Amino acid sequence: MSNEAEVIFEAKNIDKAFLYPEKVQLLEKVSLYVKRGESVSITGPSGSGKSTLLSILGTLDKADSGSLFLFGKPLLKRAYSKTRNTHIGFIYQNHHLLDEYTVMENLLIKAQIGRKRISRKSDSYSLALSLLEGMNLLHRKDFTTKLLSGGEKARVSIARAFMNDPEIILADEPTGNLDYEAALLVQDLLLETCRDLNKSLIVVTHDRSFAQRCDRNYSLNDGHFEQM
Amino acid sequence: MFEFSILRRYLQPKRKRMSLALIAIMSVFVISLVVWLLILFLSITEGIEKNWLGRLTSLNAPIRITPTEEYYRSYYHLIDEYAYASGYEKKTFHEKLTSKITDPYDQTMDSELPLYVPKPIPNDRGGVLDLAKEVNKSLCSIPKQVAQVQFHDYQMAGALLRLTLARKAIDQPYSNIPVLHFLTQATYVNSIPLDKGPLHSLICEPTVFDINHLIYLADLGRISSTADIPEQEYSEESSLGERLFPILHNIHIQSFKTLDRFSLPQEVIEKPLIAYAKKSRGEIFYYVIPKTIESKGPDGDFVKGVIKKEGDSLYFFENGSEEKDLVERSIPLLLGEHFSFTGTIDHLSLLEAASLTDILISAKISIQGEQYTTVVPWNQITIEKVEIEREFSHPPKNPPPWAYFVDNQLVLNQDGVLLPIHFKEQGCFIGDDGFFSFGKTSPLMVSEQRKKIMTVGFYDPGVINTGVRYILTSREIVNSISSKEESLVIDPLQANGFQVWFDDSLKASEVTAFLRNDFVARGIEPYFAVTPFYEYDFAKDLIGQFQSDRDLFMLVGVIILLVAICNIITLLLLLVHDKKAEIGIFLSLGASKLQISSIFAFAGVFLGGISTLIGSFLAYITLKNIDSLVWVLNRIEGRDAFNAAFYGSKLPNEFSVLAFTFILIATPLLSLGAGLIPAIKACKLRPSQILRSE
Repeated sequence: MSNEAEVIFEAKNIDKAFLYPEKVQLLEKVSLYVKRGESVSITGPSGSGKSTLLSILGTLDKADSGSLFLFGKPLLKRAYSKTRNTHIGFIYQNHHLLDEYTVMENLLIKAQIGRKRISRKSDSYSLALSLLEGMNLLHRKDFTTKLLSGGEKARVSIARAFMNDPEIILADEPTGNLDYEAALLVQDLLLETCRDLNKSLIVVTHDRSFAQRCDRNYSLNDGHFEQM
Repeated sequence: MFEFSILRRYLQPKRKRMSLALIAIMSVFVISLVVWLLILFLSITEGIEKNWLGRLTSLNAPIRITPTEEYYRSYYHLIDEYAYASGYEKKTFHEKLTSKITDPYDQTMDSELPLYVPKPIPNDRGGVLDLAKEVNKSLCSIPKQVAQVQFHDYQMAGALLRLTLARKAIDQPYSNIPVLHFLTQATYVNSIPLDKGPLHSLICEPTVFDINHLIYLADLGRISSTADIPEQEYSEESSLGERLFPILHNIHIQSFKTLDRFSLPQEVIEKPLIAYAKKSRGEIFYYVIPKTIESKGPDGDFVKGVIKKEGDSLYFFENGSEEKDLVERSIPLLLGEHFSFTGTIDHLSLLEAASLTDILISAKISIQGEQYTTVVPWNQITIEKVEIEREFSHPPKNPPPWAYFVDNQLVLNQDGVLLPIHFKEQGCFIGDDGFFSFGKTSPLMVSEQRKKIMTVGFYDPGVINTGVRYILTSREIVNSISSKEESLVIDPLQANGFQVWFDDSLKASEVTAFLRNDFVARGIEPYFAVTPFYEYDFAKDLIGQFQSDRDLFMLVGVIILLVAICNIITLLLLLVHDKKAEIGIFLSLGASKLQISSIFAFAGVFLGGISTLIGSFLAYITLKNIDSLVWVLNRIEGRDAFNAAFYGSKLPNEFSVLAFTFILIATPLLSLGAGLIPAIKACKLRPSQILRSE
């Protein structure tokens, strides 16, 4: 990735505190940015606020103060859901797949939410097929996800994150529940797919080796960021 | 669409969510039940209300235009009394409408007007404004979009009705001497328009009893009289045949019936007949022949046996006895019950008959399974079933003595009046005659005058309490009374006016508004009052009561509906709870709060809509089979569950579009409201928290 690549997503001075049962300042003036095609990792001890930060970055949670910028423009609250649908892809440690839906339906639901056509001849359907092929899951496309193994679920989750062609992928411990080999495979797939499709990645992880494989690495301690 | 595809998944019953499916089914069932009940009740109430409205407005029309006091003080009304051209008599609206002269006063011929006669009301052209014709023009100008109206002017007068009721003596059915009763009633005499109009539908068809009564009167040949105690005058100018001809020519007799104590001619009997002999001290007084072999014999001192023909004579063989009694010709063979039979009138006997006894009927009577052909005189029988002609395309050569129609024109015979149906309940029939008695006042005296009348039919005056006193007749008869009648029997403001009819009584307010505005524009508003039916004194309370009943039930219905719809809220709240994780995932994938809330709002509308359709369909089916339902209710209660006096002869079964529209709008709206509560709850879920907790 070149140094001149544009900053596509930026968070400035994010503050977040929990007031009950006692005040805990989780994040304090946290700022970060990510350039197009860049991968950024966030590490830190448990309870340091990594996942909360990722939720704030993904507009799923509200910061007490601070701003988010997408393509250099402030991200307005009314555009949060649309941003989540078109510009951000989420990957979770627990995958958060729709159990009663098939693999294909899990992928297409994101397109459907964005009012895109999902017929077999549609672009969304083709994209889903290519993503599943990339994840080596094409043979599982009509399986309900509750029948899949943990590794397969992780790969479906990755494929779903890339639906609607988002610019940023936010991954929260994507390999946390996997054994070493499966974790390595998921890491490879995630990083390679991001690189191939020129997507930005912000990943929260405890796995230092995975963090090291990213372009930049932040450490979150006592609510403050340190770039490694 | 995302929302609908999710909604479909949520509403599909699944084994895993059986409790939710059960709640959904229960909700749909309860709401359908309420919808069914509401539509059923509102349809029936609307039907009853329409029925009552019809009966309320049957005689008085949905709108009445009556002259005000201002009219009676106007030059237009008063001038006729001072004008030679008007015959120095006040004119009715009908006369005003048909007159070519608006201002009959001629200064050169007529005497000077008194000071209380005001100046004439000028029209645009400098002449005199013709008030009656302006009303007529205004009525003609009612646009068809407002209502398709029919109107006519009416006249009313007050008179004392006196009817003479000539009846057979009950204990002497074959006697030709009638028993006379008199019926006296203070009445309003109303004109009925002859052109086919709504009033014509109120006229009842003559019945077989009327026909038998007319035949009886023809046999009597009595001439009606205007005397207080009529002497029995009899016509000698016409034969019975001539008097019967207008009746017989306009009916088709289908069957006859024997009267009490009908005696079978002995010549008829060829085969043995079971008979009961009235025997006392060894002497037989008469025989009773039962209708069938199985028929029960007469009560009392009778001996059972068989009548057989041996040679030329008939013999009675008593059961259990070897003796036989000769059936003498003087001993009557009475039929035990009324026998129905078909027969034809012997026309020759009809032409020469002096009384009904002389008219012979060729009868085919079935007795104890055997057919007997005989000839019986008309005085021993009566007509049982008959078809009566009432509609003619051309004037009949022998006009019937009842009210009839020729090419949609009502024809009341000379002196003919139509009595309210209540008179029938008092024992009156078509053919009963009498007179109207009315007063005439002059500066020197008050005198009584009489006008001869004859009942030519009955009509249903509806439910207004004074309806029993309204008699309908030709304009000529009303005129002959009202031109002489100066008493204050009738409120002069109601004695003359216009009646306006249209199909849908609910348009009365629209038509009234149009007429009132048009009257203002024409400058005739001070002279006429336009009164819609809901302002009639006699109708106000009833209409108000119907409205209150409907509002009350509507309120109760909506409350029940709300309670039923609470089930939907419970169901959808459970669904939101059950689907919390999915909602979190959808939100993280970019679903807006509007999209999420729409799923549950649509679910509410869908459940409400389905229930509405099911309930409405059931209501439709029930209404179509309301008679069966009434039958079941009658059986359960062991009596008539619905009083015919209030509900009509049949419970209304028309599907109320108004009720359906109300349900169609209210139920989905309330269901939407019910869906919004879970929708709001779903909206308030925080995806980050849900996903973390999952």
